[in-house]
Amino acid sequence: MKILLIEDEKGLAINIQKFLLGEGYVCEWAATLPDAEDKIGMYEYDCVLVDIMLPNGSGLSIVEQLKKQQSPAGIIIISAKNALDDKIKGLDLGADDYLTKPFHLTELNSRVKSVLRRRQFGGNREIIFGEIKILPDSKEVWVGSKNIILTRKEYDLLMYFVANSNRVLPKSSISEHLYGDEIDQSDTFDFLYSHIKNLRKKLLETACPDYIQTMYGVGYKFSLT
Amino acid sequence: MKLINKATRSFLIACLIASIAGGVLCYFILKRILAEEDTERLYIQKTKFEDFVKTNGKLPENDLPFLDRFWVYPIKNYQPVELKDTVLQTSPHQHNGLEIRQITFCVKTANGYYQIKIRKALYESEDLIEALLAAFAGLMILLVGMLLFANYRLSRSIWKPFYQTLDLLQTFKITQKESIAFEKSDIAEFQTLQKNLFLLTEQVRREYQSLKSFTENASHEFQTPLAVIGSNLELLLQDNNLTESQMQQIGSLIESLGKLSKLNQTLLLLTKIENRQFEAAKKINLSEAIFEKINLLDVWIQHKNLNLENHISPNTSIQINEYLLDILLNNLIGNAIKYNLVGGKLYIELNERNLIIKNTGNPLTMPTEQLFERFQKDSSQTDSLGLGLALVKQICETYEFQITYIYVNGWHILNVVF
Repeated sequence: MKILLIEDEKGLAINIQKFLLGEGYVCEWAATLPDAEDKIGMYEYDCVLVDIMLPNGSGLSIVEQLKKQQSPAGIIIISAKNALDDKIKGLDLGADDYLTKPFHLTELNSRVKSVLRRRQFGGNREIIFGEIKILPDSKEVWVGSKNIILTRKEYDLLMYFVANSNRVLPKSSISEHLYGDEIDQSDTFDFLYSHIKNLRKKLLETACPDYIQTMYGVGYKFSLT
Repeated sequence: MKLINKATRSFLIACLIASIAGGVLCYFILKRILAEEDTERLYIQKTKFEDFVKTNGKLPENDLPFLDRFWVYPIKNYQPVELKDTVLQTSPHQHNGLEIRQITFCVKTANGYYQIKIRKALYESEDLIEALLAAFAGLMILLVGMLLFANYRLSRSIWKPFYQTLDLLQTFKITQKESIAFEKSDIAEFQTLQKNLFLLTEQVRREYQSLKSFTENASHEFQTPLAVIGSNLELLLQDNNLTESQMQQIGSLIESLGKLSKLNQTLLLLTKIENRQFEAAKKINLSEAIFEKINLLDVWIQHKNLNLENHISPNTSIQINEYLLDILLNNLIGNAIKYNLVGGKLYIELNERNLIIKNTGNPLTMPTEQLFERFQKDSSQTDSLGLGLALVKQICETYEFQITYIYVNGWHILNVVF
């Protein structure tokens, strides 16, 4: 998987790159608009992460160019500009997703995975994590031969865990993913806790090992060990 | 009141006062002049009478051409000249006598002294007043007519650029992209006015634009470093060699950073609303928006085990910016959940004119009037930013909604009147 990151802020770009490399992706970085234009002209990417506010122009022009080239790449817009206009414009131009700064790297990771998944396979996709099998198209979760019925939030939670497996997930990152930034994070922590408790219970009932580790005072970690 | 009417009115009042004063003054002056004239004529007649007596040595027998009527009374001794005004009863039945001026003097003839009285009827005051009144009334009517005509013409021509300028100014919006363009006038005052208005509006527009871009830039500039810090902390958190306490420290840093970032976003949002940068109000179905919001917050409502009761009249619409409505409902309903008691009640009512949100809860520990102020929060809520209701108030002010809060019988009641 090849990802192009277009981001002028070096500090942030390096961290995103490091994180995505850790996820096993190839991640290239372009800091300027001309540089990015060159790169998308020369190479094919599976996913392009583009910042809208770049020093020499708007990142939206990259989205336009990609669409003109009929590139199969998934596009995620990253921007500090929390303006509705940009969001609508970006999505209208054909971007797949929109993320406002500041965001959690784990959130970005889950969005990238979701975009790639939607782009990559046509139907019959499944995600396997240990004993768990997830069918994203029908939103079904299986452990062995048992179908687990999850609520919408529990399913989202599981998907987020799986996308960010073996990562320490801060509570704020999970609650932001599940409830958006509409509800104050601090208010969501206790019902996040009850959602996790329910998910864990449902998984354990099917004799699935407990993959959810509680990192006291920090958050959670979803891993095989 | 229109400027032109005001000017006309003052002018008319001035005219009225001037003509009344002028009339009264005229009356007295005229009266005095006429009286003096009469006196003078009486003295002239006296001299002429005396001359006649001196030349002829006797009294004139008939009325002389230069004389008014006179009366002669023989007397013994010389009496001094006397001038007096008196009323002559022309007939015993008539109430009003004739006002006259009478000169009484003595002449000496061969036959002795005679007292001569010459009388002259005085002009009557009433006649004089009537004449003056008629003259001044005529003058007033003429003046008013001329004034109205002149004003009509003036407002049509001279004041036209002024009114056009006013109209333009009324439609001026601080957010508009183009400069204001006044119609040219050849009147110096209006030119000055237009020039200054132009400069003023330009400056206001420029300031607004720069403020607007500042808000946006500040948002960008703040959020980027916050994002850098956040991403660094997250990467750090993934390090397998961390001790538990180091991890907790990083976790707490991430949490604080989240708050800081939220605070920054909210403050910028407040500024944006204050600067009226959310213009595009459109008709939005409030009933649906509320239902959507309730659905979204349902997790939370259920978590707190709240008893939700709603009376939402369908298809109630208001004019508002979509994004701001979202923030408004989020804060109003969110607060009603957040500050509710576990297992408490939540009541939402919407009708044509107002939105009422009631929730059970403990009374506020701060004065009610500070509720909508920035950074005012209940002392029991340490993790609140204290900006939610400030946002609500700002949004309500923008759309001229009225918002009130009361606490009655364990219910917090917020009422928004559209």
